[in-house]
Amino acid sequence: MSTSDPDRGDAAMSRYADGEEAAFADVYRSVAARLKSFLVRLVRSESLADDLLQETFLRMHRARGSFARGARLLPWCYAIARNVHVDHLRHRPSQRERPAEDEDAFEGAAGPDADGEAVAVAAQMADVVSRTLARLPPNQREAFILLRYEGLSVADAAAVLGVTEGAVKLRAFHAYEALRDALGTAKKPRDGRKAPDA
Amino acid sequence: MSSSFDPADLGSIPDLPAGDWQPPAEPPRVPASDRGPTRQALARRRRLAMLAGLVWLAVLVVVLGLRHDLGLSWLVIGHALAPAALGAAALTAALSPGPRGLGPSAVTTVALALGAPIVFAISSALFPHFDGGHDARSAFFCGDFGLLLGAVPLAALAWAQRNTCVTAAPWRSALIGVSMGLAGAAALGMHCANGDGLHVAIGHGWPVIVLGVAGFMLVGRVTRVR
Repeated sequence: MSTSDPDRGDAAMSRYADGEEAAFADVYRSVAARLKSFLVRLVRSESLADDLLQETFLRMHRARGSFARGARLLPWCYAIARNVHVDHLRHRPSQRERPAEDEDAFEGAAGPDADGEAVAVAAQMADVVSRTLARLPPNQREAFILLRYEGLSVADAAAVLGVTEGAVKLRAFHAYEALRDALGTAKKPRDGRKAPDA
Repeated sequence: MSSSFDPADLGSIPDLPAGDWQPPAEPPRVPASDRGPTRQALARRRRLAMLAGLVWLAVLVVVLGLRHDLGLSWLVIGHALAPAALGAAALTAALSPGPRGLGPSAVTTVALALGAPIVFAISSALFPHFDGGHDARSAFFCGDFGLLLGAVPLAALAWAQRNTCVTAAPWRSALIGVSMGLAGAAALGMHCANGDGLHVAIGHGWPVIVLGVAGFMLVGRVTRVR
């Protein structure tokens, strides 16, 4: 099944909720990659994201009966993955402000065809974004990641987070401001180094 | 928040690549011991819990005794049918999948969980005073039974709804608690012949709030997807 075919994922989950065990493979293939990237961005660690992804699918299995007919799979999965992340933070509170375990999770920001400087700049920017996100409160981080990187609408993100649309916008706005400040600060020294060469 | 903020502005923040991980061809296996009820099993569980709750209410009302003035239809409407209808509406909302399959919106859920007890209290207090009279002791006494009436159906629904709320589990569970409190108030209205509006609002109403809080603080832990 194509990963870009959300309707088939929805239908597969619906069949799985009705008891068709074989449909789980289709469900897994349709959302696993997106959930993994969501979790990697939340926790900044490939290995931890793998664990949380496994737990997410386990909970999806346990809650499959509550998947409503006609519902969309992705927001439902994101909501469960987000719960898994929240529980992870609760059980290991020191993780909230912890630096990444696996910071090379964000390497290669500019892609394989980019030139050396572009790669370096993109990697530096990604690093700034990653570190700033890690310092943000989890609710701001989640809202920002869902809107900016997972491409959810404000209404969908509000449903996933179980809050109002206004609250989602406010959280994303605070994250946006923090990131903009951090990126501005990060650019200044680089510009400063360039100035003498110009 | 800046009034000029548009979520589209977030696009100015650089991308944060998360790797190009592809899922393995073979999905992970769910342990055979881990039960994931299907929709049909969940629907059965809900029906069973609701039936058990209704039987409990009916039995307890019969045991406590029906009020002597039950024949006056407007009293039955005011003291029993109105809270029953309000409770049914709250329960329907709490169990509904909502527009995205994630339950009703946060605004709707919170508004109903907070609003339903207020509507019950105001409508009861405004109801024409009949007889009886309000005092704190009788209100506390009646409320005890209201709590007993609503707690068992709430426990049954908590069992039926375990592992089903993917978002806003505390508030949705508070709404379930409020609806069961209203069901208890309706059953109490079939028994208690005190027609004083303030007595009904306070004495039959405080269990609604207590069960709503219990739903938020306790049932929410059970209904949340874990």
